[in-house]
Amino acid sequence: MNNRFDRGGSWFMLVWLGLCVLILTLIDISIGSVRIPLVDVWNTLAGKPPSPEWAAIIRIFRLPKLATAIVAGASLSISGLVLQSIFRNPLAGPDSLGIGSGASIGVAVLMFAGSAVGALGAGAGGVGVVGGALLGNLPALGYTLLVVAASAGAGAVLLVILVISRRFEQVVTVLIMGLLVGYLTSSIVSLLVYFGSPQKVQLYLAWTYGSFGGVRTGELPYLAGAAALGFVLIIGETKALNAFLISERFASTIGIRVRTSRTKLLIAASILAGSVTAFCGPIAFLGIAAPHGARMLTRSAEHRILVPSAALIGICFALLADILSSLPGKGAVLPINPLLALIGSPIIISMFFRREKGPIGEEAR
Amino acid sequence: MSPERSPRHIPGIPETSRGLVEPQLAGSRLAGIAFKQNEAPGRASLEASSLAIGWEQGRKKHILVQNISFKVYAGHLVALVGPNGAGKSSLLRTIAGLQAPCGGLLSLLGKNIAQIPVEERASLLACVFNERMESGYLTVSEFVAFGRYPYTNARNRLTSEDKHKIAAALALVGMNSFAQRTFVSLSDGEKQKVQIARAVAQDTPVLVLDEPTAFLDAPSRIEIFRLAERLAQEAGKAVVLCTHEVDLALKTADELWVLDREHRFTAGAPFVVARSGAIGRAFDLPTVAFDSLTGTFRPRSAR
Repeated sequence: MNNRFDRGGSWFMLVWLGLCVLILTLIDISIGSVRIPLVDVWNTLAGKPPSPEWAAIIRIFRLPKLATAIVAGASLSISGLVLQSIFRNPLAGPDSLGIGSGASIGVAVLMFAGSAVGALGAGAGGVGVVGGALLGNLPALGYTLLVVAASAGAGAVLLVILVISRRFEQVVTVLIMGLLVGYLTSSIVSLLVYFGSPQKVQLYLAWTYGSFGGVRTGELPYLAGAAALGFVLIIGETKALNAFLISERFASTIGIRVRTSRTKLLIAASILAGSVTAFCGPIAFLGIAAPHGARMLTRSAEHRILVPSAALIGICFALLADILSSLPGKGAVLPINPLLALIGSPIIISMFFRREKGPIGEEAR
Repeated sequence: MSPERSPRHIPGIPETSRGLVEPQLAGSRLAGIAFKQNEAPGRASLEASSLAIGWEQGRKKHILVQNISFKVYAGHLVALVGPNGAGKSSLLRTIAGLQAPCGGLLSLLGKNIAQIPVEERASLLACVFNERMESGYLTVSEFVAFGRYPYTNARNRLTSEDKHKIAAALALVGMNSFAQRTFVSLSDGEKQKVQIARAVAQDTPVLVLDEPTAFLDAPSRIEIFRLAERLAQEAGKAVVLCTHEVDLALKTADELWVLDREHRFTAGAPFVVARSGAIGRAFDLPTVAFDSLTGTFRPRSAR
């Protein structure tokens, strides 16, 4: 799979995307409730802060938010790329496998179960009672619990999906099961929301809008560590990913241990998507859209190219959404999720239209 | 089965009517492809004894065909024919190691196939299955490079030897000018040839082809059969293919395997099998019968 490497076109695209990320990074730091001119952002980062307040704002608020956006964008898009390649389905993503809704149910149980126990009986279990009691006052201790709950929910759904994928060879079956598990979890969430108090419903809804601003500096290493772990696992399996794009049987005939590779990749994809969902809320769209962008821009089917370019495109999307969410200024912040869909869908739709006009032999999946 | 070459045409058909396409690369054919000397007679590349194939559902075994015994030697082309549902694809999947045997023994180059690790198996046996694929921006040469997967490192860095083998495999099937095209842009016949090139690049002593002529026009079908024949004779591979082209199989193959509707397995030299009536038993319908003199099917009323 070397021709595109030899021509260097794909690597050039990576450099170009890297530049985009750099520019968006500077803009993202400059924009917020207080506008800091780009020159001063640069000077502060270079170690010559023009004012101590700005330096503090950048260090305490802007940099953690920026880092979160970068890690979240990269994690979700790599996770989506892996799931799309494994399931050979352009609509696969962290959400369609139920990983996102798994995280949601963890959070919902935590937030509502305490008050819903009376209505639903003992079904919600002990965690909910404890969580409900603790969550009376988010964001103190409750925040950490939220992260744990979301990770546990994502992990539980992953476990179910893994068992299913071991039982059924057919990849489509697993995808359909993922959708059904997703429906199951969202119906439970709906019931919990229905019985929840208005105050808690609002809290829960705030989490579902998605935000990069809630991660504190102390929590960043966990998010980054999870992302690094997932990335390393995936980079070691790029050969398997290339072959999975043809079929699992094909992969097996050219010497790939299908179940081992698939399990490893599914675990990695869930770590990536689960950790981001826990910390930032269910960020929709990125995981499905960024891989398409990567394929179209690089015109490649080689995952050694696709993984980094999907990550960079995901970061661009995340930063752009974060910049737009801070644009109103004066402390007002728009929710990330609607913004992401608002920027991303037209871009992807226009990409598909442009591709249709391309010469024969350049159709994408 | 005897390792000696069997007569290559059936009585009643003059040699001249075989009508096979001439090799395209007469001068430089097989350039760069490692020639493997035919193995000493006696050691089969593929060997089955009392093999039973089928599938397992929970603890229940569904046996589709049993008592399959055969030997396939290097340099031989075996054609498997039979009506739909007789178990051709199951047999090929079992041979390819993708489906566990339900009983009996199947060995690949002297080793029990169930005990060969996936990675090693890929360097001994290559196969081409018919499947719809979404290959996206994958180019032809990238696709053929999949054949080098068993040999490349985790980063899939192609050595100059790998690149050489990819180019040689493409040249062998006459597709070298298509190297930079995307795979999806090819016609069905071209795709089939590129798939075979991928299997050739895998550089294995055994090659399994699942209905390589499906969906192809008549000249392409003959071309594919000719290619399979050359891979056996010139590259010394043991080639097993299944097909619906009974007449082409009779003319081209060294050995014919027949699976009939009652899931019985018959193997032998093509003309012997044709004469024995096994093909007729496998395929005949109330209105259509196999004529062992001409090696073709004809309506019963035509006589």
